[in-house]
Amino acid sequence: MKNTFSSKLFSHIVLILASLMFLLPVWVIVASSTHSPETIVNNGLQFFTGHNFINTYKSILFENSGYTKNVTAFRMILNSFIMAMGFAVGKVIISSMAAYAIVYFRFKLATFLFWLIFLTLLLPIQVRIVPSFEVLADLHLLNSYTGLIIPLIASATGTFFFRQYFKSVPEELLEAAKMDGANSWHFFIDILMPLSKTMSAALFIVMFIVGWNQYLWPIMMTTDPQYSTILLGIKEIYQSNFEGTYLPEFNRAFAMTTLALIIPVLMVLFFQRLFVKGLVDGDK
Amino acid sequence: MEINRKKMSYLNIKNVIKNYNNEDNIIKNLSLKVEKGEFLVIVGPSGCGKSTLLRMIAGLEDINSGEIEINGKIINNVPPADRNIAMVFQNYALYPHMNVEKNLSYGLKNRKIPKAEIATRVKDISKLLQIEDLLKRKPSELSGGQRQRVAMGRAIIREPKIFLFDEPLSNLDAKLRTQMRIEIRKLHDKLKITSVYVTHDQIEAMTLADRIVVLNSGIIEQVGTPDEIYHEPQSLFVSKFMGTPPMNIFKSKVYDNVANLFGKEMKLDRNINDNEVYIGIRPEDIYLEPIENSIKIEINIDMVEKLGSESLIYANIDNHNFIVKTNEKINKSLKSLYVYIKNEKMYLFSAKDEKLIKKQ
Repeated sequence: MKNTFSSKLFSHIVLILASLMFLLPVWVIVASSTHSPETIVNNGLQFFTGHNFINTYKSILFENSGYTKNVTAFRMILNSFIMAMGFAVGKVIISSMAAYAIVYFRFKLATFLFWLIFLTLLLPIQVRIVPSFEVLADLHLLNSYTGLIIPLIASATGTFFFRQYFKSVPEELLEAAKMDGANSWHFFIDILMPLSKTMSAALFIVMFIVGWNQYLWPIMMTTDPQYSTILLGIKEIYQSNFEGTYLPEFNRAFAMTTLALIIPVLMVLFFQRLFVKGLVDGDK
Repeated sequence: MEINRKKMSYLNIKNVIKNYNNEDNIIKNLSLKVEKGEFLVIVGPSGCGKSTLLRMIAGLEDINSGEIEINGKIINNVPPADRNIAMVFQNYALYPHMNVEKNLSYGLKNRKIPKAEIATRVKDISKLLQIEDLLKRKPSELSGGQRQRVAMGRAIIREPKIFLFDEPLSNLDAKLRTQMRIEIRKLHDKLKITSVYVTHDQIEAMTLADRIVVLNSGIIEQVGTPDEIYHEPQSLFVSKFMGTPPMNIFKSKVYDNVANLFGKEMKLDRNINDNEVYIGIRPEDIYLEPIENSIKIEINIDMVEKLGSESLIYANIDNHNFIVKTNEKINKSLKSLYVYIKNEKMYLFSAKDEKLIKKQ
């Protein structure tokens, strides 16, 4: 396509419109969260910031709330962060090691097992939620980080990506490492993982977001509010707005939503720099 | 760098057979001895099994039967790292994420050699290979020749008993290849490490080798010094494979030791028991001036290639391709020419087993 002024203008208009479509609702929530509950109930959603920012955020972050009034948003963010982190790191580790086994240890059933792992893509968490719950209940892992994280970290997608990547690594690197006296573990840690740094980072960030947004599994797993995640917090706060006889505190709900956004956004921003670095380095 | 000469040893390959998945043997009952400090070049067309042979010495491939000995010790089941062999790969196989220094020291680190010693060795090697300024660079920031040097450094630094090269120069451009060839040979003369070098390039083989092994479909056709290989090829294959431009080969009927060359009869100076032979003549053994005891043949010139000091005449006789190499100036518009062929300069190969028929 010719890079004329009109085509530039057109693509910029499309991009700006699309960005606005995504950003405006978020902005409305952020802006509204800084108003008092009365303003929102009386005047609807707000487009400009108000004066209630510090009050609302302070109370939501550090004062107990929820049904039983014993968990803060700060605690819930921490829970979400631990879960998402464990989820993402676990997935990267497990799937890279699974792919390593499949690609480099040409054992008999490797291909069959790979496709078996791949098949589990067809089975979302909802399908196995009852048996998984049963297992964890028997192991007394309900209401624990371990129980929140472990059942979710097996990843067919991750294994698939790592497998494809490892297959593209030249065989001679393995041979050179063998001659250099590296054992399988050395080769994995010293050569393969540093090489797939960029890919691991990409997988990590995607999985972090997925983990952060887990809803069904934490709601099943946790009865103790000390383990509830920020997403459960959002659900709870909206629910209580509609159930109670008090004035609905939408500002608090919006503040909670805003807080739930911050960590994933920061993660993406941080890792975006790593991506670009990885691409520029051309390490492959 | 101090190399302990006592550590060096012979490599002895005995009756080795290799096949994949019980298909045809790639290496067919091959035996070969490499002497201490020798530079042996294995040359052959692609698919002849030369790389497989090298990889078996390295321990990267299992062997189906036979034995490989280093210094009198059978190493069939010794893992590659413990064979004390170093290898330079065709595409260098440098670790892309490590800088030159780390690439060089990785093998030593795995062998748990003290840091101080690693540092001295890296320093010595980089000095030897003139890569001192590149130590902090990554392989992607190096030129082909520099990568080649680092790859060799990574091999030398371990002070191996045997040095293996798997077509190490094939990724370089022609000029650099010549230069690196000389450097490899100089390095060998300095370090005297027993080396096995695999290539499909006969010039590399001729220039580098103490001895050349010509391999064809998993069988050794001939082992010998470059001179022996070139001047006394023991089989038709070797004669065709070694030499640029290749030897001219014709098939001829023989009766009573008289061959028929393009309608001209020629009394052969060897006893021929078959009634058919291959006659081979090197392009440079064909004369444009009349000489004694020769026959005169008229060739039709297809093309003349001027190489500066010499010219190649691509010609045909009765549709047999024929190449003549000469130092004389040839007029490019020339259509035909008389050439003289001498019996003594001919190589005769049996039409049955394609082996050389020796002069008596």
